Amino acid sequence: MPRIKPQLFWQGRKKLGLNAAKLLPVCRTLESTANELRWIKQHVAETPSIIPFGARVWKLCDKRGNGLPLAYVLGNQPFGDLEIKCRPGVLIPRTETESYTIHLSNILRRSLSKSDPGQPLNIIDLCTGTGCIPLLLYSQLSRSLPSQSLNVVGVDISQKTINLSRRNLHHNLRADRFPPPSTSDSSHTQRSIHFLKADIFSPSSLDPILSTTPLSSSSTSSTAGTGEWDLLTSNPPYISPSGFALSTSRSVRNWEPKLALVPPVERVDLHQKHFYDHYYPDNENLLRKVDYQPEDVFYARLLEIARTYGPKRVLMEVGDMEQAKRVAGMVLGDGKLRRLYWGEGTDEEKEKGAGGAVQIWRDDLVGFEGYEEVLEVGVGGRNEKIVVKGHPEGHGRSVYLRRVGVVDHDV
Amino acid sequence: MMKTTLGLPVPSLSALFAGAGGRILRYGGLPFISGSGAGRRPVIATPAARPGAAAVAAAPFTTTAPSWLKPWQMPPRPKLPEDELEEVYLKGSGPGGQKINKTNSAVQLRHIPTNIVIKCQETRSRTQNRKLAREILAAKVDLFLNGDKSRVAIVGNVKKKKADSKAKKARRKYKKLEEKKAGKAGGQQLVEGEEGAEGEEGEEGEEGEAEGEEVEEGYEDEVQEGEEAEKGKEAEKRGGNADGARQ
Repeated sequence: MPRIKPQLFWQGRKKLGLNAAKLLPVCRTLESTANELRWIKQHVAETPSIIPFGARVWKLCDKRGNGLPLAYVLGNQPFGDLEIKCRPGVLIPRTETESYTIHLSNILRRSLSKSDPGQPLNIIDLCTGTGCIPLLLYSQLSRSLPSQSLNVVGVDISQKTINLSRRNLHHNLRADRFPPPSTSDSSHTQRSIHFLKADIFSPSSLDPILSTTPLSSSSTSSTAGTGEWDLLTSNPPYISPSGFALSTSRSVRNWEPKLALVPPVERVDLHQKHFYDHYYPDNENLLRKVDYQPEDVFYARLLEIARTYGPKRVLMEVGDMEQAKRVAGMVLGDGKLRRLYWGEGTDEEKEKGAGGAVQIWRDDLVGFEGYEEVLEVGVGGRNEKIVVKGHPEGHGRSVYLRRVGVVDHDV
Repeated sequence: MMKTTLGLPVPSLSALFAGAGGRILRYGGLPFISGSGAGRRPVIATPAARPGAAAVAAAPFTTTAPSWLKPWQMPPRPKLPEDELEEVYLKGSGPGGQKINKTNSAVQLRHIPTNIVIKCQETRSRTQNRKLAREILAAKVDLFLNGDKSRVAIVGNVKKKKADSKAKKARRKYKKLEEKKAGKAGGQQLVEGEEGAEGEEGEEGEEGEAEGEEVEEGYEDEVQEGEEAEKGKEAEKRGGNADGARQ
């Protein structure tokens, strides 16, 4: 990284004060430094303490200047209209995640407003971290579909993150940002949100969650489940070890948990040769030519879960367009997933929306919903056309699957 | 720059969200409106044009404005239709996603008919920035199109009138004090005691800042002695008044 010009330090000191010099090496521009200094001062002003204002700002700027991410410095990160508490050891919610989650909740709102509200909506989020995605979906849907019953589950491997997710739930409940989950069976709209600890790679810990928690309207007790999942979301670790060393920003690399960023590649080494045999033993297409990388291992597992339980919609965050294409290729290269989410209907049927959908979404969909293009993805020698939504200058951010027969009303 | 928090009860977030389509935004504990960082002016929370809703949210913040426009007589907050707005895509640097935890989520909004563009990076949340950007753009377009009749101009006028009137009252009061003091030049002990008492009485109705300014102005006009003596006298007077104020 190039040096910061001394003149910038002088300008910062003149306009913003002595603290600017600490923040400039991390923030790189005066504009960004001014913003962060303002947020730090606001945070100190809003939280009462016996320590004087100037001393607290100084201390926080010191920490930020060492590279500690701002969300850890201030202890929270705004996400939609919620406030998500952040602690070292748990990944900070990203704005890209916020963007596609809100777009997804808009789609659900438009598609479900006409359907039967008695049927509960079952949503599960794997590798949930701070619990930001389930909490935001719960918040948005309980407001936009007030009569719809909700059952939201967040799963993560680490107890620390589960504790933090529960803290976030209570923090936002206390601040009245969404209605509380209902505990009684008598009210007709039941809403529940749970956070559970499980390792998604071990079927023994994950299968109980996946098979018992979906609620259906016919079940009398709230614990038995015979329904199906309406939405499976995930923001899994997707950075390769080399990508982590080379292209990850310093504050992420030094301060955020590697467990949440880089998948355990050794699991892939064991199964890499028999990737498809292991995850898709009944795949009749046996397309071994599907291009994949070691860091795609979580997607292999997520798609295995998808083909077993067949959720109506699936949304997985990816790192870039290349990875998005590989994941789309994985979906199209497996016979069962293809039947579930791609359908073999004609193009006209697909355009009507009755067919399934395999889409790639770019960054910043909210406000740029109209943009759409078609990309060619090579799968086992053939080229399939994938719809890509979002402004063309954005990076590929997520892969969206919609089951055949499920309709998304137009955004 | 607001340094201290006002110890006022904050209306609950749900009340603010429920009314007025999110026009009054909660930012920290106080409602603010601002251009992109140019200076923050706390909003006197007027859930405008809806007197029914006023009672719920506005109680701690409304001021009684006797001879000027009542909150519901002011022009309503401008709102622009979505099809006239276009969001300009700000290309992010770097790969994004898990690899970067960027803190600023700026939103750039353009009003198509007038081609006014604003960039808002007030908060760390893109959602809130979008809402704020729409408000700010609506105010700017309103000012551009309506000039004097826009809400911003009228609110500015009201505030200016209030500030002027306050300054005039303060000037009047300190002129009186000076005249009294000049009249009783002989009995200095009495003068100080009286000023202390008058300072206390005056303090109840005045803001500290305005009084501080007015004290300096008043004494600069009146005193005609040598500089050092002048300064000493000013300090004494200020000290006397300040003590009276804090008590």
